[in-house]
Amino acid sequence: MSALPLPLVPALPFLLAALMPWAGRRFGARAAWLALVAPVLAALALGRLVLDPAAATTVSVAWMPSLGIDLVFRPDGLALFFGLVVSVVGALVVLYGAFYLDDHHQGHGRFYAALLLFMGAMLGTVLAGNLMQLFVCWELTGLTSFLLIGFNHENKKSAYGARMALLTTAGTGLFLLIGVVLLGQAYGTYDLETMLGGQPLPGNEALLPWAFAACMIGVAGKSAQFPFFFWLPNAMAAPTPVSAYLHSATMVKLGVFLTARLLPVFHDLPAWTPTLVLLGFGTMLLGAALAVLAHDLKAILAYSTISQLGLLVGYYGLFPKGVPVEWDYLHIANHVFYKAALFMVVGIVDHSTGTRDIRQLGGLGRKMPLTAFACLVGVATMGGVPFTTGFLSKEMLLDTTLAFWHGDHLLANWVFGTVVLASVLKIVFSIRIFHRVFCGAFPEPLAAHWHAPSFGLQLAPLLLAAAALGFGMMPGAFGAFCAAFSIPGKHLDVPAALHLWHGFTPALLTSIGIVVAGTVVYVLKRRWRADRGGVPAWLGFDRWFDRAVDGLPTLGAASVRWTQGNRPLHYLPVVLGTALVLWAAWLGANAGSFRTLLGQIEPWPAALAGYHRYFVVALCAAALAIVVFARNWLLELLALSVVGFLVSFFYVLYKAPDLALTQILVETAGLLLVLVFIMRLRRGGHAERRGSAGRGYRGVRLLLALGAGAVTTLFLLVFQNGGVNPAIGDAVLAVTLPAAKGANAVNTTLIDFRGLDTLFEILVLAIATLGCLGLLMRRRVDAPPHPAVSDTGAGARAPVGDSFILLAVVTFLFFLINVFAVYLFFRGHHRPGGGFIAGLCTALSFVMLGFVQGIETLHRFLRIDPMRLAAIGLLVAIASGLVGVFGGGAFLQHVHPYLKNVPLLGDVYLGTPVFFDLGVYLVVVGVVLKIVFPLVKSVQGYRAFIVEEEGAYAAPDEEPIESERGEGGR
Amino acid sequence: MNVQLDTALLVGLMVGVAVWLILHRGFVRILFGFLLLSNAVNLGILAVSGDPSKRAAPVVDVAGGGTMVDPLPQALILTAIVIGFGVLAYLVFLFYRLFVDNDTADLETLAEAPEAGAAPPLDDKKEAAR
Repeated sequence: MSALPLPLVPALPFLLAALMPWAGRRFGARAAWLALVAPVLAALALGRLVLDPAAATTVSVAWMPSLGIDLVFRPDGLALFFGLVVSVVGALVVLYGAFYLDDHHQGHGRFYAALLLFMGAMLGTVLAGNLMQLFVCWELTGLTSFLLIGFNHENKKSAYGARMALLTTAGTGLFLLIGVVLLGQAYGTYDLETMLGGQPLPGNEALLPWAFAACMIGVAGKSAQFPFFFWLPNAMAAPTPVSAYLHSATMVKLGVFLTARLLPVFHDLPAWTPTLVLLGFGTMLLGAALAVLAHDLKAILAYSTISQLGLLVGYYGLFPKGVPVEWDYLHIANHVFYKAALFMVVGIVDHSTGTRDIRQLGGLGRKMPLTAFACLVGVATMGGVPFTTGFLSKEMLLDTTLAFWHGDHLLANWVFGTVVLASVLKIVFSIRIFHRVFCGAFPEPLAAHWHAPSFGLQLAPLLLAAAALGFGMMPGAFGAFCAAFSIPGKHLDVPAALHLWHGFTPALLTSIGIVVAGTVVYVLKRRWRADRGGVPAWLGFDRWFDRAVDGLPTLGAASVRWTQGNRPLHYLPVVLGTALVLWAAWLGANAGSFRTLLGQIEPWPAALAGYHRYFVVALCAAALAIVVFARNWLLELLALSVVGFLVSFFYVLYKAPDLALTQILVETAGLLLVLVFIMRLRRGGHAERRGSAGRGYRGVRLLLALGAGAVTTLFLLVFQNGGVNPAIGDAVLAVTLPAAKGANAVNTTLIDFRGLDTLFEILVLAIATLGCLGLLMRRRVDAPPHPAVSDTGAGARAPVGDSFILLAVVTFLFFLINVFAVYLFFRGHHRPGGGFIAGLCTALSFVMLGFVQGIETLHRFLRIDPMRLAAIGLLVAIASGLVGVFGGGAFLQHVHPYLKNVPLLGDVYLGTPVFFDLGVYLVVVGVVLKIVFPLVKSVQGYRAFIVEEEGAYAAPDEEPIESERGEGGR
Repeated sequence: MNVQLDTALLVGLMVGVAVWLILHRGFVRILFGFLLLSNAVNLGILAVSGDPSKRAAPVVDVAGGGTMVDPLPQALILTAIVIGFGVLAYLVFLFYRLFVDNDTADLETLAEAPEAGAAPPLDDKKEAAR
């Protein structure tokens, strides 16, 4: 444990979290002991850095250097303090959880995995030295807390609370992102070191108030400040260890942390003090008042947490520019001690009695003396009784508050008044918690559920209580502890020593007054029997949140109703027309600059070759005329294929042999697909029919078509001379042979230079195929089979009639084409060809065979599901890319090894490009076959199709999309 | 020849016919339009990638030391052709699905069918969830 590298401190919980699902299955509740490793190691590593400040150096790992975003780990005092809080309380919570979540519970693996993920995210946030990294980790804590709060997700309240917490914290987190980006703009960097030490770029200072406002919304959301505080009581549906961890000590403190972190950036803004003081101390008073009114123990603690968070956020407002911060760590540590302990105590009470309602509890003091002691210390600390850290905290707070009087009087009055009032209320609910739960008589109804807590369960709160008591009795040590984390320039250089007895200071007198007043109020409140009531609904703000969340779908539906027509014939002309008008306007606006360009056109080519091209254009035009005017789908399709194949002629003209080959093959495959579809339509009795959308619509269509054609032609003429930047192309040509070991630059671009694009492309192909299968799946199984697809006894009959000669020729061609495909595949790196083209060849040869021999024969011949073939292809391509990684290079960095002196063959080339291309080949074959076959089967009305494609993939009856269509579908 | 007027005319013609076809109400003609449009756009992109005359195909050892055309647009268009096939397949299956479910190959008939393609009322969904 001599030197754990700093980045490992947040990384370790993440790594351990990956093990947790396994550990949970294997060890059940005892998985906690494995999870304990991460926080303990983190605490030791961070503790070492506190003791040895020289070792606390910033560690930086490049992440996105082009954006100025790196992973920076910056262990300054603030980071170390919060890091220690996170890891030490984390260790205690895991210890507590080990006993709390006994074997009666389920999903230990999931629980500790989420807890560790959260811990890692927290450590990442506090140690972050880059604002973007801080934001990412900040949002990660929100996500993981969602998993933790919603741990019992079958429970409606848990799901509700988790959703509310996520929406609130993530929603306000977006404002934080705005703030972070604004800060990045203002300072020209996201690096905290530079930002905290430097000045905003000249001219960008005006961004700071906006950044401050955005960040404060993020802070208020995370730290449950007004008006976002409502999520915290609802998040109490979480298991108690989670509440003790997230909602007392760590996540909700992130807002406090961020306020402290950005204090040097914002504290010279005039808005700093008023904003923080009004927001924070207002929340403090509100939270304290609600805590008095609540009855659920956890709700009381939640509201008191809101109150304390308000204090901590507002506290930083007392330190505008020029006033060094003091004792902030003292207040935070104090709150961590008692609030985590109290949450754990409540968990024990809940565990042992089965209820958390303060009205039903009582007399537990005799039954669980250790818990009662921890609770007593906890509430004493919360109330600020001498010999606890709470007393020191309150003394120092009152001191600071009284000192603040020298500033703005109105704000000072507000601060002093809210602090005193909230402190009185705090005394009231502190006494209430202990008195109502541990004193008096033990209520009979609870006896049935009662079981005594184990010692292990009580250990963690006892340790926290001991810390509160121990530091409370040794104020010097506590002061020194807090001072160890002070940051030079931000904190008071030489903090005053802490003592129990300062003499009869105004702070002490006020403190005594608060305790007396609180006790009196509590006694009076008991007299009034103010147990009825509860938190008034209008103060919960939950309703507004619910209304907003429920309103969103309504708003969405309404906007769809207003804006979306479901007739392409209505909206397509509008979309197209708008685009055309814009483009034409652009052309018109630039008319002057390219009029000279248009003048360079030589309409009549000089050489005979030029007339060839016009001849091809004329052929295309004739074919297109057939497409437009014919009344026969098959004739139109044939004419269309003429155009498609003539396009490949132009590819040859443009010196693109690879494109020409691909074009011919893809055109064939696409035409086959459309042909099969047309055959299917005809099978269903649908023939060509002229649209009768009205004369006006035909006019619009004609106008749009002419416009689109004219604009495209003009664009092409203009852009042909627009000056292409040949730099990349020339670079590729220059290195294709030396670097990629291939002469065909198009192929090396696909396989090597832009291999990742190609990998994603074949992935897209596979996904598109899955989408096609998905469309097949959505068949309604309860409906009678479509008449056209019903069993017609087609059986194994081939699409093309039985003809022995055809069969023989096609089978021969099949082998010939595949030999050619192998040839194309292997020459691809140096000559036109390659995986795509070879794959298309093979796929088409199979399709041809299928047409003649029947699909079932082909299936028997293939033996493997084409989709599997595609998946294997993807894996092969990825694996070939990984070879480079293991060789120390980047993903898809190809290697070119040779097997020397193989008998008969000589040297054999075994480079990874070949295997990558093989993957491409397999994907193309699999995808084309998987797409074409079901349609062919459907055309044939195959029984096998209905059984295999529909039966296997048919959607279940209760699938909503089908049932909704049920009544009005036909 | 500096400007390829023929290619520009051809692409313009193809785009025009494609738009004409896509605005049709029948599934088959929309498919035709899509096929034509992807061909036209691919050719158009190639056409603006530079004048090919007096240049060789981008195969290094064959071309020798002479100037070659830019291989990058070619590689990208090759990708586009193949992806275009994937999209065409998806479109075909979508129309196939619509055809099988609604027994029509016509957009207007589809739109006139009650409830076809309309979003389900939200309240019902909520009721079902409860």
